[in-house]
Amino acid sequence: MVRPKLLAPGGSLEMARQAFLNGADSVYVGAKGWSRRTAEYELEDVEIEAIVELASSMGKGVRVALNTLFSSQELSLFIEKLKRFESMGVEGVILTDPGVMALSKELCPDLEVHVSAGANAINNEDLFFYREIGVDMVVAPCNITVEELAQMKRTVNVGLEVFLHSNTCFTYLGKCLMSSYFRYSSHIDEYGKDHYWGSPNRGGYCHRVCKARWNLEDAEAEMKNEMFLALDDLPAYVEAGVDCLKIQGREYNPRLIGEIVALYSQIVDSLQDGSFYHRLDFFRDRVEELSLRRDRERNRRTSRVLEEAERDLEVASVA
Amino acid sequence: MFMFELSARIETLDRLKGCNLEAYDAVYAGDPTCPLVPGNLSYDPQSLEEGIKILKDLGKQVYLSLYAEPRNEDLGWLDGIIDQGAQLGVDAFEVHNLGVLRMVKKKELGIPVHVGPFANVYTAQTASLVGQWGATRVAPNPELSFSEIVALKEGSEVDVILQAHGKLPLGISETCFLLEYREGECKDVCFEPCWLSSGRWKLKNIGRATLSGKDFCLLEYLGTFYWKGFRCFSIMTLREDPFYIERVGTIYRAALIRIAEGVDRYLEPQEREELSRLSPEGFCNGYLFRRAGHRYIGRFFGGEKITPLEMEEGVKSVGGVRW
Repeated sequence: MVRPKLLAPGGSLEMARQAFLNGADSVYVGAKGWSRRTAEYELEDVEIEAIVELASSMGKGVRVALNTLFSSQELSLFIEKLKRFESMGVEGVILTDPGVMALSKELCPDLEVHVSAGANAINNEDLFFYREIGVDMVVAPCNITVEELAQMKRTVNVGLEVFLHSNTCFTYLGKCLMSSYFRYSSHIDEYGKDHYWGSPNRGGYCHRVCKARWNLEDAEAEMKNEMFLALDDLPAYVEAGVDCLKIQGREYNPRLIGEIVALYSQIVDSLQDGSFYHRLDFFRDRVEELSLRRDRERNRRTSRVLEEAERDLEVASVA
Repeated sequence: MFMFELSARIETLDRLKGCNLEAYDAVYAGDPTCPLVPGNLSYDPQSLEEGIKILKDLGKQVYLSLYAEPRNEDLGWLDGIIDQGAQLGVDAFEVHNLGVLRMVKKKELGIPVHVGPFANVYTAQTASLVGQWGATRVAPNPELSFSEIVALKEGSEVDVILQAHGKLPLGISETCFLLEYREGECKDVCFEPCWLSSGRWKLKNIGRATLSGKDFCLLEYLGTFYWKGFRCFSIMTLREDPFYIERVGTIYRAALIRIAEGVDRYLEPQEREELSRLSPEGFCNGYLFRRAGHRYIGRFFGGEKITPLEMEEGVKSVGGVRW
């Protein structure tokens, strides 16, 4: 059984250090203005360079998320970024726009191209398409079942990455405009990069409109988002030949990420040495404990962004 | 000479029989958001056969709109419906999924392929890429601004279709929201879309898809796009009533004819008023101006003023407005 790689978030140099020390093989970082997260969890090029140096000194890897759906007019800026990261020695880039994936492979054939979960690759034919345009790895959306993953691995010769610990959206990932419909703005920074604030597809900041209190014909209705823990499915993932296990959370605190990475590293080891089922109760308790801490952080942010969005709409309605 | 094409979306045979489609040149047949819509033209082979016959007899172009989010279990029936559509002589397939684009390409059917609005086409690079995979037309993602839409068209070889009017597709889900909140089966709940509200926010849900509460309206910028070379326009008519489908189509067709004939002031006050009555939740077009999608910016329909910067970088950059 091949040990899958463990990929962790690198929201800061400290988070990357915690992730590496606790067993991550690689971290992913977001380049400022170019990844599916808000700017406070993205990094300047110089910060990414520092993480690449740290990774290199520890025999680890760094992937850069450039996975916003940016504008056609920003292509030259993107190419500049891509070449800069290639020369820094990152192992790969995570992209969402298929045209940009094909172009990146053409310009930097040695750089791995990973299909972001936001590209929503959900069937074998999608995977064939991405493989044929040259990508190396596809990140499966959270709602893909273990059976589907196994079928994909059996059928298509492309790397497959899955989330271990994440949240599903009300819609298919990458197919939601509800946030930007209600609150959206853009500004161009000093480098000429447009930051589309309020669009998770374009600038990463999601107002989580789906989590507001919705009414349907005078009754409360919920647009369901579910927390997703892969613990029980992990043996099947590994059995299916999944290549990489991804922990989400550039926005959480580095210590929590370190603890989550340490736990999943132990779990993957236990799958290798056969002790997984003996320790399952311990793993389950620990995963639940860490999930509670993670969700407390997430819920605080959700309340804040919803309040901001509702306030903004009041102003817009009056204007 | 090809002046323009105006298209509607019709989900089922029953709805097809109940609509006056005189104003439209083409129909996207089938509901791409959910195959289980009872009688879905892009799922039910019998309905498709009769539907194509009706549309062909009416002289309409028929574009078969294929399921937007197919999982592996859907690929088999999709394969069959593509073959059937080809045999029955559809004029194009509409795909929203790159895997389905690959499936159609592999078949070498010689039938044009349109890439629909759920496919997330944001850049000229992707428009060109899908062009290499056989697509002849793309629908840009609704989030794109004036200048981005033009850059997409000018930077690729494929044609671009713009949504001219109707609810914006804001999301597509794996499961049906209506079935979760209403009693009954698909046949009982599917054609009764629901309205969701939260404070001043309003959305329409049609099952697996969530749409905007307001109607996107391009009417006062229709000429701007036409004079820039855009010729294909669609009205989002999923789950709209037949009167809406007929009247919105008629108003847009009349406006497009005047625009194509070179009439500068192509907006008729009584048509604007009728359009407003047909859309009680109001209009939106904010994305075109890089603002929130629910806002409406413009001279009519109580719109917010266009700032000088927006005029310069947005509207003027694509040819200006001649109301």
